[in-house]
Amino acid sequence: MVSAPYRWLLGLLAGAGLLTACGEAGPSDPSAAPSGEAALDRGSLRAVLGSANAADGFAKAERPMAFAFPRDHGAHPAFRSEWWYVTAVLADSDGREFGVQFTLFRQGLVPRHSLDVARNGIAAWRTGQVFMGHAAVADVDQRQHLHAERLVRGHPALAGVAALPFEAHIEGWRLASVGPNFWPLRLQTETPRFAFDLTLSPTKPLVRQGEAGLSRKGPDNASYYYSIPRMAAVGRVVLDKKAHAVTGSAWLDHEWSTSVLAPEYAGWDWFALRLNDGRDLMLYRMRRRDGAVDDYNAGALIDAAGQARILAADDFALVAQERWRRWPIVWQLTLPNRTPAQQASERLTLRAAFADQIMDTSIRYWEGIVHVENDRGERIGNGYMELTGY
Amino acid sequence: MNTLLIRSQFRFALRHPIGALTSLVGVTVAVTAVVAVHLLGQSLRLGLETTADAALSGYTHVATRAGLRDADYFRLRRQWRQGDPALAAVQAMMPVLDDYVAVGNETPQRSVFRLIGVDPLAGGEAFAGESAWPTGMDADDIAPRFLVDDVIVANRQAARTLRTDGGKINGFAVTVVETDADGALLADLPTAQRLLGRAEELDAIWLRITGVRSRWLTWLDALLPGIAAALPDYSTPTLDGYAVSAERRWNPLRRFTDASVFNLGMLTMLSVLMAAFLAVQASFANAARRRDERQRLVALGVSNKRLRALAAGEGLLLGSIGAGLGIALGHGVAVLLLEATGSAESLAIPAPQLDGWVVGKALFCGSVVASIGALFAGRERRPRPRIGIVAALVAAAATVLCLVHGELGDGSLPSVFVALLAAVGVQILVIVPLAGGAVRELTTRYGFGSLATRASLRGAAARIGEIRLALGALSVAIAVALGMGLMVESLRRDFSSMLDQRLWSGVHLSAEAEDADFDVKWIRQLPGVRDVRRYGEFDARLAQGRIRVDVARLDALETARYGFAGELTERALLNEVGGRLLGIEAGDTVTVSAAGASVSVEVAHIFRDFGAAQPRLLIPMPLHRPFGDLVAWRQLWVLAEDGDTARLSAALGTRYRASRITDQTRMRRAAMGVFDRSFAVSRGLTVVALAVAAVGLYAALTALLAARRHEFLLWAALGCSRNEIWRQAMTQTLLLGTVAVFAALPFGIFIAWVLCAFVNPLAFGWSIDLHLHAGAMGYPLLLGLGVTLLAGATPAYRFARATGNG
Repeated sequence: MVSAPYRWLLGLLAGAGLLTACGEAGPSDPSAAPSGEAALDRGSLRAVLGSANAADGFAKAERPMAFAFPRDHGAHPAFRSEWWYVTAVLADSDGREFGVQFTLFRQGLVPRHSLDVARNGIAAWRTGQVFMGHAAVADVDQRQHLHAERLVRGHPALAGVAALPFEAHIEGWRLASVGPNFWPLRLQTETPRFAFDLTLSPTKPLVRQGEAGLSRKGPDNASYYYSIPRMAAVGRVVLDKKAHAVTGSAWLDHEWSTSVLAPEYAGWDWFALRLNDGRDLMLYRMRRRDGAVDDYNAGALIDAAGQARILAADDFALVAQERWRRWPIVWQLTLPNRTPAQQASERLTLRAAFADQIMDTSIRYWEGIVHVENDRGERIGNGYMELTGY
Repeated sequence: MNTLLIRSQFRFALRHPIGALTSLVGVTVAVTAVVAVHLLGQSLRLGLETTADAALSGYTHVATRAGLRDADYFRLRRQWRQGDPALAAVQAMMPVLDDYVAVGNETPQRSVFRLIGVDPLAGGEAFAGESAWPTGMDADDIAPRFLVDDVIVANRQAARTLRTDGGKINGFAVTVVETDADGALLADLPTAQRLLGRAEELDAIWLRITGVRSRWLTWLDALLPGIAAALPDYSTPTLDGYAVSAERRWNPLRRFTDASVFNLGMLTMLSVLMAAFLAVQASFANAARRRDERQRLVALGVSNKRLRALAAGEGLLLGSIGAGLGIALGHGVAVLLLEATGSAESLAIPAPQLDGWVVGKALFCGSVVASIGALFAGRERRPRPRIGIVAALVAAAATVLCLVHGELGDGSLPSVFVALLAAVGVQILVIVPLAGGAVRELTTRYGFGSLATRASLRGAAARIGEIRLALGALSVAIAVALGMGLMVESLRRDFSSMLDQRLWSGVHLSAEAEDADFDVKWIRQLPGVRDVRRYGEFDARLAQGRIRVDVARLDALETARYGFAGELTERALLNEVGGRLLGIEAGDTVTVSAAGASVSVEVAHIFRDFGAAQPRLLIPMPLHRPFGDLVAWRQLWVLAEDGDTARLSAALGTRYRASRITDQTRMRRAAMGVFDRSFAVSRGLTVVALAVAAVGLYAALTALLAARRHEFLLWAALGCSRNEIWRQAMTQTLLLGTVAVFAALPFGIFIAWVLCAFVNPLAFGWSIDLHLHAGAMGYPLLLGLGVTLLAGATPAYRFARATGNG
């Protein structure tokens, strides 16, 4: 575990070969992830997400705030870390199932009041921001999971985020409003091995997670967090140079903070699920190093009409059932009664569509499609699962 | 049956210990040569490479274009990210500003440093590597600021100068991070652009390209250290509007190093060839000695197949023992040669280290080649002249083609070496047999000496074909020695004449920073001083690459030092290395740029600059003005009356204690000393090659005498004494030596020409006028003849004792 939050940047400087004599050549695919040996101190999420110390000058998520849109769709450079995160479960006309993930991470080196996207010349290089993009496609039929990473400094020509019109981009990968209004959004990525181009439209209202958008991750750590569940997604996925017209539903998360993960946490397990009955579910389990169930586990159950019910740690239970290597890929989820009239709580099985959906990127984590099954083994939904810190 | 045969083998070896020992010595010497050359090459390569500037730090190629800007970089990067096929092999790209910056307000402290501005995140990969960060600094504090504030990573000297100056560059306050590593100042790209006043400008885009060095090239380099250094790099992409060059080609020092290690690699390959030949020859000789025994065994019903297997087994055993001895001896020779020449100290060369590659190579040369040689030696085959002629024609064509490519191609040093190897084939397959044929014709038509001598000469001439390989190898070894000797002598002559031009009587002062403010008036009034000349220097860029610029008063006296007649006030002089590396010729106009200033100047003359690894431009004094304080005036040349230099040096030394004061005459002597020392290793290796050839010849002569045994027994029966038979055998040896020597003469001159006209210009950027120095030619010829006589003396003596009358 890296103790200093900026140690990863030192690594980057070294990785650029500038402080050492010579570096080895890496993978041939420019979008491919770096090899295992070369990667950032993996699992050290705190190195990127930040801890309570060394956060001088950055704002902290401490109390609920009134979100204002479209402003809050944009970047919050007063906070150190931020990410925009889209997952989608899609299918083509033959029913072939695909999963898509796009994440744009922003890491502030120094606090800023705003990201001035109109900068040019020397100032354009001095945004004080670093961006990392992750993109992935899962092809369930072929048990194939392709991913790519991009990491650059903030610069209008390289990467940045604007609120109006909304655009979050990194070297050609974009999540952006199509017109002057926020909706619809268009998500585009292209790598040598895969690409996707989706148009996203809302079907349910935005959900403020936690306490009116303040999502607590520990006694001194929290983030601002909202989700847009069950967006209608339509577009195409290109795999091995073959395009597939796809439709499905997508999920967007936007979260910003200065310190998220306390030292006693190893990582988290996170789920965004769409059930066939119209309900959506977000759950996360903060994984303590001592193995105890954490008080800060939380979630949200959103009904078909878009009404959200915030779930506390004791409102649900997640128990790992099967592991692949060290990753728990089958879970037993126990949900609270749907209505007061129901006697038994609801038990669901969350099963990875296939085992190897590892993001072998600078931060190594598991991110992929899961299928939701009822206690009779029938598939009643799908979604995405994220496992970090393993 | 097998046991019986093996016992017979051992008994034969015990009854003829000299023969077995000869084979063993042959293999041992061969392996010794291979191991010694390999280890020397490996050590020299490591020494040279560690001194070379690893400027690009893992980036393999440089893309440049005139007027390069940030926008061009972003465009290229977009193309790459969009999957442009031309950039498919690119793994990372980095925008770079590579310029020079003056630091320090006061003249004595003012220094010019190379400043490299980069975007450290452009590589697109995240690595762990906190150990790489300079020690003793608050990493958590500095790292983020590197991308946000004006932070400079500087070596100790630069950091000291910067701190003395209040941590400012061009008026901008900078945070200095000191590092132990030498080299340029390093800054974030916008920091460099700001400090240099070059917003949105770039000098290059560095590319990291995969597959630069394929695995087989790496293996080849491990097998023959240095050989891959100059082999072509096929992964350089072609980008519209950009000049893309491999880092190894772009960096002059790297190129120089590559050329040097490649030469060593070629020498290693030659040694392997010679050793393989020697091992085969030793096997052939062994088989020839045992011809009678072999015929008896065949008559007894032993199959040829079994006999060959037996011979191969014996070869393997002898070869393995010889290889083991050769490894130990080769290591010792390499250590001794490095110590004897003083190269290890002057170039910081690591001690020779045995590794798996060299041991494997030694075992292969010793055991495998010896056993294969033994296998073939048992076969009675008539030489097939047509194959030889075809091979010779192919080799000759290859020689011509490769030389043409070497002349016309870019950086095609390997072509020249292939040409040389092909020429070796021509020498062994054509020249030596032709010379043998001529001798045969002569001995048949014209007779001299006694009947016995005439008969002996004719007998020897008739059997030249049987030892053509040994003669060919000896001839090649003599030719290489002759070629190297001629080249070194020619270079020595040109180098000496260059020193005559440059180093006149007088004293040269090279100042440290605190002494730089020379009092010229005071120096002028010192007794014996005729003139005082100041020299300035600064680093700059041309459109073609980086260059060191010297500033001087280029009057007729000064230009004569560079081989140019007349005064220069508007034009400049460029060294030969610069001309070749940067593709500039006399008459071209170049634009010198540094720290925002620039000046265009025509190159009047390209001057010789032996020993220089980097481009150097000499501009006349008025032209340096735009660069103002960038020019460091650290050198003086004080012309003195003859004989007064010692007193002058003492007077200057008293006042300028920190300066380096060199008597030009002494400097000349020292330069020649360095020159002679640097070629001592190649001389040593040449002697090793001759020794290898001599052992081969010894084995061949032993075999030849064994084949002529019946002939000599007849002479003994006719009453010839041992002395007479010894003389006949030695006359035969002399004849063969003469054939080898005369065949070597034209080939040696050819090698010298190739070295002077192709290898040196391509490898080092220096051209040498070939000078046919009688001593340089005579010494290897006489040495070759002497080696032949020495090689033949023992077999002749043993043979005379065995066949002649008391």
